[in-house]
Amino acid sequence: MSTNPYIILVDDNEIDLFLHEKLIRLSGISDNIDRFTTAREALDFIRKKGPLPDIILLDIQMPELDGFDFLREYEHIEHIDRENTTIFMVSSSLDFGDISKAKANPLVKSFIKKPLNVKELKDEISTSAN
Amino acid sequence: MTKARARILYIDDEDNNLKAFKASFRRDFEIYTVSDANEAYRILDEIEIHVALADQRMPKVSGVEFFEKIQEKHPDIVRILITAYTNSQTIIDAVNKGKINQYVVKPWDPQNLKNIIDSSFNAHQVKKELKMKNAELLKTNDELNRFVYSASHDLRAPLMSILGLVELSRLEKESGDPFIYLDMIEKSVQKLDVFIQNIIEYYQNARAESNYEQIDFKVLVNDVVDTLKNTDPSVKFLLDIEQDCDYFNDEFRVHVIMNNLVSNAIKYQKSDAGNPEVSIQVKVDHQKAIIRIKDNGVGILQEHLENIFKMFFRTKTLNRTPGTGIGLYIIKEALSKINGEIQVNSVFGEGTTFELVLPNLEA
Repeated sequence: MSTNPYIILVDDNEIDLFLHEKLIRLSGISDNIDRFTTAREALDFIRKKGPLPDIILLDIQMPELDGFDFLREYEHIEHIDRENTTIFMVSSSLDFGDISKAKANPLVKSFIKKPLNVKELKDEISTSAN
Repeated sequence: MTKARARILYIDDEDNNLKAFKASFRRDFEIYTVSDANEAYRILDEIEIHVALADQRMPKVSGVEFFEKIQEKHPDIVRILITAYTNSQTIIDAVNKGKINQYVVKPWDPQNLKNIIDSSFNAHQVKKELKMKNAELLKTNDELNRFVYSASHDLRAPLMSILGLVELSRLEKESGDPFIYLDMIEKSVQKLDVFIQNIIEYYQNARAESNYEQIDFKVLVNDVVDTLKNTDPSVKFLLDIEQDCDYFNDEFRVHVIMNNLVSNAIKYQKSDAGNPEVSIQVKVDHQKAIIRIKDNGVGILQEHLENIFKMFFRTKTLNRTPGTGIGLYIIKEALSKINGEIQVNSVFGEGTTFELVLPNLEA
C-alpha cells in the first residue's frame, strides 16, 4: 500500500464523514480522501473507472442501499481490479447479525466500530498492507 | 359494550325439530336453521357462526360427516351433535372424525341445552380472544425485534458521533478550537432526542385508552402549526378550515396524527425551493372530518409509497433529512385505533398530499 493511500468514505451521516476525514488527515494516514453520502453515488464513482481507491470505509446502516447492498453490487462491477482495494466496514451497530455478516464477507477486511479510533484504524491499515 | 349474542346454526332434516328449536331459543340466540347441508355450508361461508348443532341421522349427510367436512374451513366453531341413538361407533366417530365438543341426547331439555350452548359460546369467545391476543403478541414481538435492531443503530449512532467529535477535539487541542464542534454535537443530540420522542409517542399511542372529546379543528390545527412553524420559518402555511358542527373523536390521537403529518410536510421540503408551502384543509360534517395536508416538497418515489407506513422504513430524500422511520408508522397505528383512513398521493420532486378521513363520533 502506498504511503498516502487513496481512501473513500461511504456514510449517510454527514457528521461522521466530516469526523472520519479529519481523523484520517490528522493521524497522517492519508490526505487523499473522497466522501459519499450514499452507496449509490460511491458505486457510480467506482464504475466510472477513475482511480480505484486503496481503502473503502463503508458504513453498514444507510437508507436505500445499505453497506451489504453496496458489497453485492461492488462484487459484480466488471473490469475493475478489486485486488488492490481493502474494504473496512464501519458501524455503531452492536447487532450481532450485522457484525458477523460483515466479518464473514470475503470482501471485507475487518469490522471497525464507531467512534473511529485512530490507532485502531492505523493498525488495521498497516496489517492489511502486509 | 353489550355482550355479543351467540350465532347458532342448527341442521336437521326434520322441519319440526328446527321449528321447536327456534321457538325455544329465539330470544336467547341468533338462530339459523337449515335442513340441507349445502345450505349450511353457504351460511357458514357468509356468516360467522359460533356454535353449530347437527342431528346425527340425516338422509344425505350424517351429523358426524357434516362436522368432518366443516372441520378444515371452520375450525373454531363449537360442534354439538344431537342424536337419539347412543351407538358406541357413532360416539367414537363423532369424537375422532367430527371433533365434536358436546354430545346431546334427544329429546333435549330446553334448559339443559341452553346451558350447553351458553358454555359452548363462552368457550368459543375465549378461544377467539386467545387467537386475537396471540396475533397481537406476534406483532408486538416483531416490533420489539425491529426496535432493538433499530435502537442499536439509531440510539447509538448520534452518541458515537459525539464521542468521535470529543476525540477529535482532544487530538486538535494544541492547534484548533474545540468549540467549532459544538454545532455538530448539538445536531447529534437533537437527532437522538427526536428518536427518543418518537419512541415515547409511539408507546403512548399504543397504550393509551381512547378518550372521546369535542374537537375544534381551528384550535387544533393552529396549535399544531404554532408549535411546528419555528422548525422552518420559510414555510408558508395555508389554512382552510370549515367546521359548522360539533366533532368528537380521540383528541390525543388526532393531534398525534396531525402533528406527524404537518411535521413531515415541513421537513421534506426541497432545500432550494423558493416558495415552500404547506396547505391544510379541513372539512367537518356530522359523519366525518376530511383533512388534506398538501406540500410542495420533495415527494415520494412511487416504489416507496407502499412501504412508507412500515416501522423504521425510510427513504433517501433529496435534501437528505433523514427521518427516524417511526412517524408514519405512529400515524397508521393511531388511525387504526380511531377507525380513520389515510390516502397518499405523491409526485417525486413535486410534492405530497395526504388525505385523512376521520369518523365523527358525535353521540
